[in-house]
Amino acid sequence: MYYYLRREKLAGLLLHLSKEWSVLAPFRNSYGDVTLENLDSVAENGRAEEIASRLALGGRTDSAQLLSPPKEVFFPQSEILFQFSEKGNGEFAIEQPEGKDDPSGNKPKLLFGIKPCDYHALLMTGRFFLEDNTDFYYSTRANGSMVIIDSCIVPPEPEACFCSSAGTGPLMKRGDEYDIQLVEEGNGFIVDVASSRGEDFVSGLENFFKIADEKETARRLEEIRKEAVGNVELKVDFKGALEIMKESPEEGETGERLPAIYREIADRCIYCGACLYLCPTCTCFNVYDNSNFCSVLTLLEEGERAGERVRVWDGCVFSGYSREASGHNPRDDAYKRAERRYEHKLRYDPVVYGRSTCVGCGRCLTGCPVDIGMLKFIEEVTVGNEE
Amino acid sequence: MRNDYIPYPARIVSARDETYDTKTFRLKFTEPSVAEDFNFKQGQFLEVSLLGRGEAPISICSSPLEREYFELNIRSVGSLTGAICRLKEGDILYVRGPYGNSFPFKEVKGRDLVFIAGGIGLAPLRGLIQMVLKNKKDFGNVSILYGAKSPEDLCFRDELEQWSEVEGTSVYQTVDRASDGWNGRVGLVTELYEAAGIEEGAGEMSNTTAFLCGPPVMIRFAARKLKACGFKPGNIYVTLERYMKCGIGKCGHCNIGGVFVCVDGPVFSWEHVEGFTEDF
Ligand code: SF4
Ligand code: SF4
Ligand code: FES
Repeated sequence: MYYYLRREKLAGLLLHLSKEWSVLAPFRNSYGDVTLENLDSVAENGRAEEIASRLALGGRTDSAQLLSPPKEVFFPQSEILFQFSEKGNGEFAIEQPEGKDDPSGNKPKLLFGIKPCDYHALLMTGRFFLEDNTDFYYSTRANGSMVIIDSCIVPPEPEACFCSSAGTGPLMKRGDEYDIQLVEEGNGFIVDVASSRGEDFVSGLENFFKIADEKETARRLEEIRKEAVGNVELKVDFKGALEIMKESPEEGETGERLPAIYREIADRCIYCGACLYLCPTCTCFNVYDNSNFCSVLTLLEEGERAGERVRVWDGCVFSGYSREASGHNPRDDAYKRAERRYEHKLRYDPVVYGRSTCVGCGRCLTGCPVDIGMLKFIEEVTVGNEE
Repeated sequence: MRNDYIPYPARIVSARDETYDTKTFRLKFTEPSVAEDFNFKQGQFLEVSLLGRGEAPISICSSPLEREYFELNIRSVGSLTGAICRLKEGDILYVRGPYGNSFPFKEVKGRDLVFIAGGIGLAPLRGLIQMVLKNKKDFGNVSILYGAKSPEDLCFRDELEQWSEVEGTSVYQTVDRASDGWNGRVGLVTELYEAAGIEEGAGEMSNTTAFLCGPPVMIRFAARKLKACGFKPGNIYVTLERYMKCGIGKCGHCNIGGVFVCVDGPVFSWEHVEGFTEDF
């Protein structure tokens, strides 16, 4: 069904929801950056007015991209896998964090105002971490969570967003897998409730969500969609790139074009890792132990032998990523790492998951100090393709 | 919900010096319920921790038919494996797993088998060899081709001796560099092929399956030569190594092409991986 939510009701709605949910929404800080923040931390300093003034919602009047992707809510940059302390005869007591380190506590998370590209990315990371050997930590953090999409009528980063080419935006379509999307309209939002879970969510919130005319709203949404698609001026031949990547990288036309592109990327990249940390679908991590008895540097207190096992984001562009204990490194050559970065997203994931894991958010380009990015890569591999 | 990242304590029952830098540890989980539930297949590996130092993937080198213990062959190459190799009987390691797929066993009954190993590459094959030799009547001829840098680098020496005494089983050894007292062969492991009846132009080796494990360069080289000697790529199995941080297909580190070595491997048919453009 369709509903309408007036903008002036937003802050009240979020506060109301925060009784049951850990509400995470895009807030603008004093420097202008938009990040996903927990409502509790925002509301402490000023309640409704503060919320309303800092909230960055609305795909037309306040279309803003989250600085870092929402994956960090379920897969933080750094997290403790377990802590250990010696209990005698060489054995350690192992303690799992059991969510104690989760700022949301025990409440399920409500991600309120996620862009369609980032939402698609969450579907992908969810599938990756939860299917086949469920990742305990991701699953614990994501358990019971829900996402409310804030669709884009105007692209937040017109120079970098290419969702319409990647097939992830700028609006969700009925039939896609989602619960609720908000589409800014007038002094508020059209609320498109697409699933029974979404209906359960709005029921009991009649104070905020007013039923809207089904036919008229559907018609209006179609109009907005056309406008929104037209507003995404950046178009790349995403499908064409996927076709090219299917071919053997060492033969034919692809074999002539790709090596030169990878070589240039390998030469120019400064291996900062920004593109991977900022990518909403990059999920690689490293694991290390921090202890008070054999770490070179530790912040843990001395005393009985104790420590923690930590996992942190990692990335395939780093030279140590594939280095084995023996010193052997199959990707010693930066070329191999550049190749990996693009082949993973455009060549292998489409085979394994049925679609590319690039959602067209553009962060890898905006975040790159030397202007390398998926967008540029696709443009280069498809040079000469018909529009 | 099960947490795959939590390791369990296993006590070192015995630690045997295999070479100057390699040890074989016999282990048993300290908690009876964990020991009871622990089942593995030939070719699988474990994630082994020395808490505080870190964790590394190590293949199980004993036979899955042995229920009382499991064995790990560890070479001291870095700070973690170095520290593990300093452990003694009675010490504790933390272990989780088993992970990965396994070598075919039932599927290759009735066939001739060739095992080709370089250095500590014999370890991942050892459990399978033990299983096969225990059920030798179900298999054809077995050849074990083993190469190492020097005589001092050869592992499982007593066992190689025992294996060679099993009927229908031949063991061939070679080293890159001989040292005093070595009367055996000197040369690459592929130079043992001929002795084992693997020759170019000898026709199709359709009733033989090869199992291959060793350093990355050796794998490509040895597999290509097998192909040239009449082996179908589908009858060659290799076990690959990779830097691994999780063992369950999540950390990304073990990836080659479209596969994760930890879950799609470590055992691959050569047919599957020969076209990979990346180094092993
Ligand atoms: S590859 Fe770049 S554009 Fe694609 S999803 Fe990742 S950060 Fe966004
Ligand atoms: S952001 Fe740019 S420079 Fe940094 S690792 Fe990625 S491609 Fe290289
Ligand atoms: S070891 Fe982590 S994905 Fe294979």
